[in-house]
Amino acid sequence: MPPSRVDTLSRLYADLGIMISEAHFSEELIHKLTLLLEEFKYKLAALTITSLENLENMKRLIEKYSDSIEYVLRLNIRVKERRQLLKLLRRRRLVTLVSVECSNREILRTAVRDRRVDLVYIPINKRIDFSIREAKAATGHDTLSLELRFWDLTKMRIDRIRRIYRWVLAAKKYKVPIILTSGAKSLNEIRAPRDMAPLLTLFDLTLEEALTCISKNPLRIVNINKEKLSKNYIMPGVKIVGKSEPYEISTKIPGIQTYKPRKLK
Amino acid sequence: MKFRQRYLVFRLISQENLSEDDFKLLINSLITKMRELYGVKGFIYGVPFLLKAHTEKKMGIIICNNKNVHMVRSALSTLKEVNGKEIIPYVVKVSGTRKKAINILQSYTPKDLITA
Repeated sequence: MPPSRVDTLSRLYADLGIMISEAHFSEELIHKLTLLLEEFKYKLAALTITSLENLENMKRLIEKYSDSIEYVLRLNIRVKERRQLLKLLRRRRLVTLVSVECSNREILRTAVRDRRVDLVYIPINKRIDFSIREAKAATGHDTLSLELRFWDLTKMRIDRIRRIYRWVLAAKKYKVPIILTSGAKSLNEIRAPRDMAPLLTLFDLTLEEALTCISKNPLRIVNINKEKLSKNYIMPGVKIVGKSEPYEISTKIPGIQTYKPRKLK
Repeated sequence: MKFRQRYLVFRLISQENLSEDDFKLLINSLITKMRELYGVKGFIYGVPFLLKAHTEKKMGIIICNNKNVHMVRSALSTLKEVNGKEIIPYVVKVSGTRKKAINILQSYTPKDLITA
């Protein structure tokens, strides 16, 4: 079997954009959703919330059904002013993922530069572009990625296709990960990952790259964020791996015990 | 370059009963959607058509070329309803032979997924 085929078969898929309104969430709905996601062979799904009011309830619901499908919470920020965005981002640690729906260019540029933002989504009807300038600003981040929603891509006109094509080119040039989500607003809009991904071939992505947009890229973001949110995380590259009793050094290590810091003049 | 046929075994998740006409309508809307998304390029390798429909299981087999499997898959997934009935279509398996595809269709036991 060629390696690419093996890779395709062993992929784990994630849908980071289930946009069902939190007001409709109930145990029954999550049960149905879990069955559907299991059938479509998803491993992870992100449920979107727009405010932090129902956070505790949602967390409780998720914990109950997180056996077969791993659920995470995603805060979708939709504001018009930069100040409001920064205010909401202060509460970043309460959820695993943060996405910003950019209604104007100012919000987009702020979101792209901020390290607390994971996903940037540009509504298809707004006249804003994810241009080279934004892509350049996003290169330094480990998690920031461009979100494309499946149901947006299906309602396309020629001018919109051209715009999205330019976004994809800019993201590819500066290696900003692209993430494909379903953007499902009801259960009927959820689709299988291997059926959704080929639509990205319209934008000059290969089938392999398109599948990465719905498998490796989203899982990578969630894993990084989970590590950051864990108690053992201190800073990038430093984490607590274990705790033990302090011990005395019996042998002399040259250079350590004799080290004296220089006095500053 | 060799052109081979692929058999897509698909399933429609729906609360309502589906007739054979619904499956035929589905293929028509699939072709319309393919033209909308991929243009004439989508039909270079041929037009997909329905081989078999199992109305009880709400499953069927679509024949298409191996070069445009991904186009058919994505166009199929964009369909939301057929004949006024809400559906969730998805491809269960892609097979290279007719015999195997029919075997999959007959042996597959669809899970009871209730849609809202």
